[in-house]
Amino acid sequence: MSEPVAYVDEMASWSPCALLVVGCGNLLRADDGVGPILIRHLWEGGVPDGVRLVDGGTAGMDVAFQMRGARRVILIDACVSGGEPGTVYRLPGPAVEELPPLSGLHTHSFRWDHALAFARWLLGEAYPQDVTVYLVEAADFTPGGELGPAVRAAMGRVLAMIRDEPAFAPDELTVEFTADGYLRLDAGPATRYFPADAAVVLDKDDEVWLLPLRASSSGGLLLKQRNAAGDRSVLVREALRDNVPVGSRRARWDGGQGALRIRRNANR
Amino acid sequence: MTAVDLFVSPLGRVEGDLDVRVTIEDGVVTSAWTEAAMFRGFEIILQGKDPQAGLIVTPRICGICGGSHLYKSAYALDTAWRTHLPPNATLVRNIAQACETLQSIPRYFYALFAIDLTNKNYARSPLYAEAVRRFAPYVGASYGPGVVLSAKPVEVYAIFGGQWPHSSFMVPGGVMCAPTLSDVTRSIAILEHWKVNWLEKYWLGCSIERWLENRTWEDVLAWVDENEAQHNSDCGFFIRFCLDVGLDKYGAGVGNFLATGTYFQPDLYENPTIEGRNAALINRSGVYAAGRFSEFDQARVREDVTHSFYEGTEARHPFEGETKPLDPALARAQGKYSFAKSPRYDVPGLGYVPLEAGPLARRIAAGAPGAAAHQDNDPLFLDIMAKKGPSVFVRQLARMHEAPKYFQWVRKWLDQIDLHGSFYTKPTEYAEGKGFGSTEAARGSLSDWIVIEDGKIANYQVVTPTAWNIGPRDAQEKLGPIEQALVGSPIVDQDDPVELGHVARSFDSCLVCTVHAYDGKGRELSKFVINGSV
Repeated sequence: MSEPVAYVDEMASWSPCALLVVGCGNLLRADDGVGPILIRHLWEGGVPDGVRLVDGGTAGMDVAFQMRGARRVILIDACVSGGEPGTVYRLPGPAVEELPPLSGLHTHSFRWDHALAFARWLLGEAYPQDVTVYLVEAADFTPGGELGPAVRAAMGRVLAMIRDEPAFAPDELTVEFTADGYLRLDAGPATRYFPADAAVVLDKDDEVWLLPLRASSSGGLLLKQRNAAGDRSVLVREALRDNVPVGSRRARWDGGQGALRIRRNANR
Repeated sequence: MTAVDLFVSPLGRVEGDLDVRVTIEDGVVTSAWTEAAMFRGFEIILQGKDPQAGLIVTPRICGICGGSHLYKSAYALDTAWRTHLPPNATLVRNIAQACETLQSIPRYFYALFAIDLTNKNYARSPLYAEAVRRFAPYVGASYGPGVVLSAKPVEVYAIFGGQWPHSSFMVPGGVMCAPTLSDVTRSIAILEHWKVNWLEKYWLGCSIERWLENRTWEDVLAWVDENEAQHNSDCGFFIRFCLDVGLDKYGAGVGNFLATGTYFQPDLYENPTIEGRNAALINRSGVYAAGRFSEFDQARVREDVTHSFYEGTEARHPFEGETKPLDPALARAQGKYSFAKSPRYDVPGLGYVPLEAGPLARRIAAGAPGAAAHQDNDPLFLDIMAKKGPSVFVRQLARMHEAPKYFQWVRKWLDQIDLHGSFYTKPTEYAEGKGFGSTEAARGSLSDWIVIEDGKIANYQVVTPTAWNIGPRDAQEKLGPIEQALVGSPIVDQDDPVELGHVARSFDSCLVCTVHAYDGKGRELSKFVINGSV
């Protein structure tokens, strides 16, 4: 048996993910709740494909089980180190490597470092390659209390760092406008976002928006396959009234608007 | 005569939450004090809140028993609001509660209890090398499968409850889920995997049906020697090891027991009431004190604070309960020494006495006369009690005995779900009412009392199994169950009193549950330096 987790059968319900974010701590103890509350904020902002969120609460051993299949793990917990409340510590790699011994763990006193040590035992070779731990200096543990202002601000900073993670970034891709007024899309994004091969174009000042239609019978513009790889081209010259930003352009998929947003300006 | 004061911390392996102080005279514990070192403030958090706040707050009391907290807080509201519970909702609640316990049984046994069997103090036992081979943490041949497979049953909880731990899917009037046929079949497959690959393969060495045929202590002894598979199973070995090193000889405790019971017969609890609760239970309630059974009645519960860091002198019923903490430094001068209250029960003819909660209490209640057709009726542990009395070993065996039993129940409940039926009946949210909800968490009776006035929580009291067990002395100076269980323990090595660990851990005390859920996280960044005492 290569690693202990292999005792669990193949049908176990976990799937690979690019990024796992785990918030640990107790919601009932004011600043100690920063981890779970951060997870709620991330949840409300939408969870991209490939990202998994875990409210680890106070059940440490189970955090280790959740780490199955994650390529990268970010763990957020509160701490008391004597620093200024609201200080965010991003633990350096060697510190995350230096885990407590496995002896004498208790299911009721798991902390982030115990969870990682347990996970390393549990997952063996499958232990995530890339683990980042953010600790937020806490000050107030009043039962039933809210996050203090310093810790709330710190949570905002950690949130921003997590949202800057590649896995959280909206889908960035490159498209090309041709001199004869076609927009060219690679096969991947074309099939992913425009499965019916039909779209409408909106001219939005700094951006060109391409919105998918449910079916080509609804009208709109047709995305035509232009090579064996399945790349598509769509004639946008008329929709843009001959104001075509010829050349390569950056674009991103905006799930909220349901639109592929293409920047007219080539610089960014 | 030599008297030595030993101060052992942290026995429950929770950093600083429970301190146990014992006095040892001539190698035997003669007195004990359990000191819960941290304040729990849940009752205060809940006062004045929306009546349903308990569904959110109490599951956060503990990351281990979160599902049990949710279960009893839902029933507290069901009784207060006089809800209707569709049979499906009762089945799903039963399944979820039982799966949390099925997870706890192996995880507790291997990750917490059995580790101590590898203590060097047992090196003289002829079975010692085998104990190390099986139970050594992380490397033992049984430790890995036991701990890892313990994650399976709560996968079933997550199928119904969305997540485990800290779900809030049980609500007054039912459950917030709509399981599909594939949810049910997946649950069955997960549990069967757990049964085949851990329960039967490692723990029993036989079918669960064979184990459950055991009705007496002699049956158990005969089972051990029936064949090699059973003799060499973890259960067979555990029994032999305990008898060899004498774990059946100490840790008796108060000898009086409380089970509030859990799991309901769906058609008997469609309209939950406090009065109708006992008759609808599958896992029966009951009080067993001074060798006699009596029916459990929540009205007979009191919480004594004579030696607890709280204001007040009289023992109060939880409906009238108060939680007014004192500064421990000042309260110590009044003889107070713990943040745990002391729950006591008015046993007819005996008065207020401490009662032990936990799996042994449940197993004793299961042996009481007068079981209805739908109720657990199992004489095994009443028989073992009569022949061997309570001990560290018997407490453990009772816990492990529940794994095959609850497995069978869950399988049956999964088959009974009507996928086309309702899982929720919207309740009337009465502005006034009193409710009592209770369950059996893995480690014992767990109860909520709620008083609703003017549409808000006027009073909310949680009494945990750990409170029943680790509570300090009361007004009559009677020791709490763990304190009493420690008395009489033989201590071979004062520098490494493994016996105290056995006794305390045999109650599976969930200190974070009682004291508060700050998880015992030391949290200092200095802890980040490897610390051998973690």
